[in-house]
Amino acid sequence: MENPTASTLDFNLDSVSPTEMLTAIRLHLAKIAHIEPEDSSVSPLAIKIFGANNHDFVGAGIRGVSEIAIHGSIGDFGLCSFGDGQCNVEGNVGDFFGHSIASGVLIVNGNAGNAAGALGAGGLIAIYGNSGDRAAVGMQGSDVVVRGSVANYAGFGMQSGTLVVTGSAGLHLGHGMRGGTIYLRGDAGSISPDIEEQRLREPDRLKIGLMMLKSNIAAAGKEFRVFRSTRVGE
Amino acid sequence: MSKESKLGSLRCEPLLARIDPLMRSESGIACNIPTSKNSDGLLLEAPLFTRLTSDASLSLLAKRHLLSELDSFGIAWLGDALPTVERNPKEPQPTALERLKRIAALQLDQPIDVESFQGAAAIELQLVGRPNQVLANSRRARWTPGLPVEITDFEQVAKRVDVLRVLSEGKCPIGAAVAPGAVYEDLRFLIDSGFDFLTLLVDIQFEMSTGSSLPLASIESTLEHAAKAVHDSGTKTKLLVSANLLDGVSMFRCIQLGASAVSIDGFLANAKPQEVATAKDTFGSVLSSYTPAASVSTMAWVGPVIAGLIEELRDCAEYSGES
Repeated sequence: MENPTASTLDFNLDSVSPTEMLTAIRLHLAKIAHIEPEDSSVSPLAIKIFGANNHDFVGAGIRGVSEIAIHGSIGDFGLCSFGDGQCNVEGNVGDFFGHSIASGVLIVNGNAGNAAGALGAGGLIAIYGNSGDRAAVGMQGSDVVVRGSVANYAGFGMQSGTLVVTGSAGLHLGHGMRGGTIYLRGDAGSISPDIEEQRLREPDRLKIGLMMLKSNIAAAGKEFRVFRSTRVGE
Repeated sequence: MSKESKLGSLRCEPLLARIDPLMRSESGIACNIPTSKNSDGLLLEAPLFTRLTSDASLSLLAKRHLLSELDSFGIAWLGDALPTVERNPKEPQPTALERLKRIAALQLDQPIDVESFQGAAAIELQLVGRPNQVLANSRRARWTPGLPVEITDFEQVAKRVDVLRVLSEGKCPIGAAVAPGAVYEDLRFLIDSGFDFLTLLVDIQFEMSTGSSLPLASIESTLEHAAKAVHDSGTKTKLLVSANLLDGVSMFRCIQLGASAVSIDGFLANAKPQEVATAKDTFGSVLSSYTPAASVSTMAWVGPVIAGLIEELRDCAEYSGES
């Protein structure tokens, strides 16, 4: 923390709590803004986090950091209320990963727990493994891409946004969904009466293709089924 | 039938029974995970607060003038931070209102926005409304007790509190506003979940005018159960009460019954001079909200009225021998 214009910060969560880390990052960003408020040549901040060891709340509240690399797996509420930049998690993530994400890109190389992307208002979450129950619950504008399969209640209470599942889905897909779109490539255990299957159109293919490109996942848009809410406007 | 007996028949199921039955987790009945608490709790200069800034449809300018009138009394208020006014330097600026304690409101289905917490003295989760359900076309249904849509398990509420604590860097006490359902059970559960303070919504003042109050329960029985829940929990959780209290005596009685602070919403609505136009969604109110002079005059009565109320509270305290 000596040099306020340093472009990379390292944190080891064995010795620093998530709250202390957040305070240090906010302080550092404030210093950069104070020293060079208009200077675009100041290097954007990148952060490396070690010793995650399934700690809860890792990276919660971080905004304005261009790149975050988390080595290892993290616990619940990881990257909650994330905004701007890109974050790459090497391992698995716990429940409520990316809760209330506002913008930016979150990439998980492992599996996600329950309620990934809950209440997300923007940005993109890409999960390369499988996701637990209630993926994209109450989502309000984010995009969630799951390369594996999702468990039960995927898209529960979704209001807007997009959930793309390249694997299969569990029971009650789209339960209580009021808006948004689900793209599913595999089968679903059961589909909630709150959603209906619609014909895949060209804009859907383009949208899936774009999201796959952003997520670095190879899949063709034409193989998907589209589900939208029957309760729109309620 | 009296108002009290009518309200007595309104029974609500506990908060935890309000999770979607399909989603409800079977694990555990009580929250047993250790939770951290903000050691300072919610520090209030005066045992008074207002929710009018959040619940009533006040214009931005009316809100700003109301807060500038409340400025010298240290009364906490609920709502979002006010945007800065650049055009008119005579208008009270948010910087001038910093002495007032703002309680940032987080609605049930609202994504957590860390920027809305900046400068807030506390964060209050509004545990009212039914996520993901079509509500009846009435005012009361909007205030039904509820839990966030992503919560399916009791312990998740405690984690939701903890994440708010992390996001505010441990600086803000975390509270919850809850409508009276099964008061004792709900409050015990919320206290166990780690909330620093709880606001009981006994009455909702949805407009700043007489008769615009929505009673949800009777104050005496609700406060009695709430105070018992706080006492039985063995914690120092603060209890805020939003009720239609019209004078200092009834407010003081609430404080004696266990409330740490009471709302002045009903008092302000009733104390407002009759000739002052009410800010409602009318063309006239829109016009008046863009006329600074008009808005100043509509809120100028607040200061003296609050000063009188505080005098009355002091008088009650002296009478009862309390400080």
